[in-house]
Amino acid sequence: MASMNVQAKALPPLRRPNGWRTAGRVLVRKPGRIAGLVIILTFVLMAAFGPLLYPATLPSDAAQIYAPPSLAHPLGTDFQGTDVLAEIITGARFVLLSAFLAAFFTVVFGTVIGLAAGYARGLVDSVLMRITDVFLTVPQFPLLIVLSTVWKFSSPLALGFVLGITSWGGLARAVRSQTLSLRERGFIEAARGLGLSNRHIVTKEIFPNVAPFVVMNLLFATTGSIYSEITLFFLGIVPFSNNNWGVMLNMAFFQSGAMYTTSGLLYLMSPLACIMLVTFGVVLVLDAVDEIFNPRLKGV
Amino acid sequence: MKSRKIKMIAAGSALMTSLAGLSAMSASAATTVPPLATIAQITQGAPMNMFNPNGLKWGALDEMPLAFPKNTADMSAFFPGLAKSWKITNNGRTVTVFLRPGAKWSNGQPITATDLVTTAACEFAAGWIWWDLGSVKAINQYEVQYTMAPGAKFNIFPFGVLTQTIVPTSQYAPLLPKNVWTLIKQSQYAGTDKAQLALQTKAQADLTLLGKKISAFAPKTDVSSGPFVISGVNPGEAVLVKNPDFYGAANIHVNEVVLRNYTSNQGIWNYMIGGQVNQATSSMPTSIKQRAAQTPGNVYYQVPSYYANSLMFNEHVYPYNVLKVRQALAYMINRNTVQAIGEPVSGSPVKYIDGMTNQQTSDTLTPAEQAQLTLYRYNPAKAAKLLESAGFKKVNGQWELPNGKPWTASLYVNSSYTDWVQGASVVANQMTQFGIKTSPVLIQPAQFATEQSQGKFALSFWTIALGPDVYWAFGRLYGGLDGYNMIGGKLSYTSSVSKGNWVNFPQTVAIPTYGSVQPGPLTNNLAEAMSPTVLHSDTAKLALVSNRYLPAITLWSGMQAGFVNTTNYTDFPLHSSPVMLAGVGFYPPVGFWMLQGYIRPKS
Amino acid sequence: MNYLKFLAKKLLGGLAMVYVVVTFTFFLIRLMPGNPVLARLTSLLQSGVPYQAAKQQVAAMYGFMPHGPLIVQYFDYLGQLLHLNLGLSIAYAGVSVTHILMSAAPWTIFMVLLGLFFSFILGVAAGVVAAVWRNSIIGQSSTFLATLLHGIPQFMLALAFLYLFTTEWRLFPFGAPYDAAIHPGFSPAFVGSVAYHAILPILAYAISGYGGWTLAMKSSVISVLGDEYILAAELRGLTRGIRIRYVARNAFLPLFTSLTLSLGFMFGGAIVIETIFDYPGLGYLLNNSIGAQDYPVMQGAFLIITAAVIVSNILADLLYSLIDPRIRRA
Repeated sequence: MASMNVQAKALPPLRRPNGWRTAGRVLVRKPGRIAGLVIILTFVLMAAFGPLLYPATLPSDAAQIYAPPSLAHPLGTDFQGTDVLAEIITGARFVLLSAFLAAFFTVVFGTVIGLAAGYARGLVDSVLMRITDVFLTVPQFPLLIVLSTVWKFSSPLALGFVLGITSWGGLARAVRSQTLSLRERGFIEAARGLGLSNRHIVTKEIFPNVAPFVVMNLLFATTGSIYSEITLFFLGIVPFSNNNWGVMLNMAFFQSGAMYTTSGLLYLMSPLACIMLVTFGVVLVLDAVDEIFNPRLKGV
Repeated sequence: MKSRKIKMIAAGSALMTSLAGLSAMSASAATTVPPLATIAQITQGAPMNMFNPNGLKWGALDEMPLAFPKNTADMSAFFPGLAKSWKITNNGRTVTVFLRPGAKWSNGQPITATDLVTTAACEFAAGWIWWDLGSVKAINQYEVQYTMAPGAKFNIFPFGVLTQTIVPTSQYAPLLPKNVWTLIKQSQYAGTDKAQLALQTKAQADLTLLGKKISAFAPKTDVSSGPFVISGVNPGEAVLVKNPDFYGAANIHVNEVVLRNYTSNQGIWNYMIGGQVNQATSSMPTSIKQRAAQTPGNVYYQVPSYYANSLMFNEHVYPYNVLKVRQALAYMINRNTVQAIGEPVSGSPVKYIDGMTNQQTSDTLTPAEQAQLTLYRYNPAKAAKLLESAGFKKVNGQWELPNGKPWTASLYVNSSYTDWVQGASVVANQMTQFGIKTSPVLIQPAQFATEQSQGKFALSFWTIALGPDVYWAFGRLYGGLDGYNMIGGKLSYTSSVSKGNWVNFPQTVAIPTYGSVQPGPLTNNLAEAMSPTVLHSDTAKLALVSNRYLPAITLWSGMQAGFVNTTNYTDFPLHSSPVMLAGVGFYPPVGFWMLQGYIRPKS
Repeated sequence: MNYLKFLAKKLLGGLAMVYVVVTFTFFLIRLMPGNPVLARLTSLLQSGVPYQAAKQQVAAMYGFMPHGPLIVQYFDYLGQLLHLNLGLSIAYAGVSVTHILMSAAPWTIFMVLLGLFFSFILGVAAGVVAAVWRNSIIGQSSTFLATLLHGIPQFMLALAFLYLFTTEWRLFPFGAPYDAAIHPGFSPAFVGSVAYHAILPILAYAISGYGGWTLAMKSSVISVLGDEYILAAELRGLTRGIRIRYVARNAFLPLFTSLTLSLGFMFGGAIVIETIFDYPGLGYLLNNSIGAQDYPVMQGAFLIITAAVIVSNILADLLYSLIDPRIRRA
């Protein structure tokens, strides 16, 4: 597959980037990268501490339905007079936590299976790759919908797991092809010659060389998972009992007709804007990560 | 059906090859009036068969009942349909229907007594007889006599007879075996003879198989007894053209009707705001009403309709089997606020929590009887007192059960009902503020219905007080869902969740004035009693039971609210309350409106 | 010979995949909670039908529900599947699932493929521009636009289109695949009506895929630009136009294989786009069948969507092997 060719060409150089100093230098090279980092940190803080700022259930107020923005309600209010800003802040934790867990599971499954297949080769490789093919072919979203009928994955961990298990295929393939090519390099041959255990070779020699690629995928998978989970909530497929941005979108669009009024528009647009902001933050930071690990790209 | 399928695929593939530059061809005939548009649920591949739950058949458009109920408290008031007139004799046990001579199906064949007999046979097989029909007899070509089953008691039997929709013999008779009436007779056997009982079992099995065939039946063409007939249908819309053979065709001024598919209220709002339909109703927030009112030609209307959305308890589940808990909830929920958010446009908060709507309460109960009802005005302090007296404690703002565990709750709603969803989120909010941590849980429709009937929800939303008949209203509380079912002509009771009892209200309760009463048999008596005095006193008792013991907390009752669009059509019956009221009975109502001579194209 | 072998291998792989999906959904569905029969019974009781009549009606509607040991049901299902018989719908009370799917599938397949086609062509063109002129304002704005569109979730685009073009400006219809008053056939009126109704969903597919193709093509072009033969071409004094054509052709090939990956995404997107536009295709059907607990339809819709992806994959592979013979030999 040609996508592998591209990755093989961009194989990381066999040396570690020299620490935080490089990272810092790369970051400040473009102001956008700092902005990206700031955005991500803001949302992470929001997810960590936001829910502590508000009561567990946000108060509603029938006299304040779709109130315009004001000092008390900077983003206006929703269909039941609840402050939209408060909903955004308290809703961040679920979204980001489950997206991060999803990305984590994606990366773990993808890396482990890719490494195993690429290093073991032979029968293990072909069995693992056939399984990977199935996961790559079956469209993720319909699969999630079908799974949702059996399994109520509404906790962040369950949702993260189910998103992770349905989206590791691409990463596994790429990690496998890198492993295959690393395997043939001199230093791995040497390690084998020295009689080092397979476990040592895979974890200490090969993994560090695919790690940068894995880190980038962790970021990618985070944004991908945000989209998937928000879409699941938006369509109302996962039963929801907590507040998060996807639930807000479902309520705004399907339940309360926020799209059709100027005053309700902020309620609909706020979670959308947050999703976009997080995505752009990640894209900007990815740019920097890319350069840290692949200095060759600097000029491009 | 096969040929159509192939055509659609061919059309699809043709498009893949030749799409360029065709987008401009759509707006063609601009001089004629566009078809009258309204909304309906049109499902992909559904048959044009009313026995199918998704069937492409719409009342007063391409199918007709014998008569249209007026939808008032008087269950014997009708507008005539295929029946020109009828006669009720034998103390309501026999109904004789007189058809309109000369009425025709859209294939040109006359509508006769044979069609009515065929319809009854199909209804028996498909399990559609809910009104205790015993036998049917064609007296002559235009006269049919229906008799109630011997031993059965049902005071709205005539209602059941007259609201039947008739299917054409030409389409359905070929499905029926020659001995269908013998099978029906055998299946109705009520004695103890072993041989007869064996025959009965076999006949019932045969009828079930036949019913399956009838439900799945997919006729190739639409044969209509109504003013319109389907001329084209695709998975998203149906076009119906005027049926020239319809008996009242001269009175119909519209040539073409288009039904647009919807799956959610949001879809309906889009149609209304876009001015794409001439009539649509939907539950809607104020913002939608205001926005749709700005669309040129749109006129808002609302019609009284009998229902109340409620918070329903499953008394299998502690602590909701504790009366004081239910009463405390009734005091701490602010119904005005719940209505203002759940159904702001056409709702009104329920005044008396008594299992009926405000309208029905004032129609049926005397002022003295109304005065006996507790009002449950919003009073959190009183709610707290009630809970404390039942051993509950409030610790750090959170209520704890008498055993010291925190009291938390989930409130389940059907995610496709926007009014429920919004109302439930307010109720949950109020409960949480009061100190019972509650979250609303939205569940997809069919799953909601299943799990609710399996008793999985301690607290859920539910529509009760369905009128106009009081039996229907109280049947929602003390009927099948509370374990009471008519089996073999006798009222039986089960307390088992697995057999469908998910309300589990006590079988006997004591109320002031009347003493000890049994709500199940009382409710059943509402269907059987013929005497108005008995009906009245039973109603009063049940209202008092529902008010004092709260199997459900009614929150708001609603009107049916919607818009008509008058850009191309005029003369909607918005000011004729009898016509509008009767139109609420089915959807879409435009067919019925046209039958009454309304709706004309603008010249 | 080689080519036939290649073809056979691909087809076998595809069949194996279909088998896996069939087996997976079959057993998954048997795990499902809830009971459609009970749901129907409740809704009849709700509407005032007495218990006995309701029981009989439900028995009539669901007499076809499968019984017997799971493994027997499984082989029965496989056997029926070979005859393209996917069972009977629950929500439609016994109408054949194949019939229901056939009325939905053409719409989805035609829209997804057209959407993919447009996003691919436009994206690739924009990618070349973004790479070749990457230091000019044109190239940079092309990259920016692609990044922006790539970052917008599909449902947001669809929502915006729905609001702007059907409500705010009322330029396009929604909710039906064509005007039902027009008789289906090869008439210009029918084809025009289908196109008119499909424009918004196709646009939503095309734009949501566009950004990804642009970015992929850009990076592919840049990596080809660094290759020696391009340098050689430059040294030999070939014109800029010819060089760009060289580059584009070579950069284009690797993208072609990504098509297979994006097919899954595109067909999956049908659920979102069709639900928002109320466009009655497979995704809409799948989503609704879940709401109605209509498992046979759900199973069928999922199977058809997956099969569409598999078949398109095979087609893309074959096409690729025609363009680039090295693949067949590999």
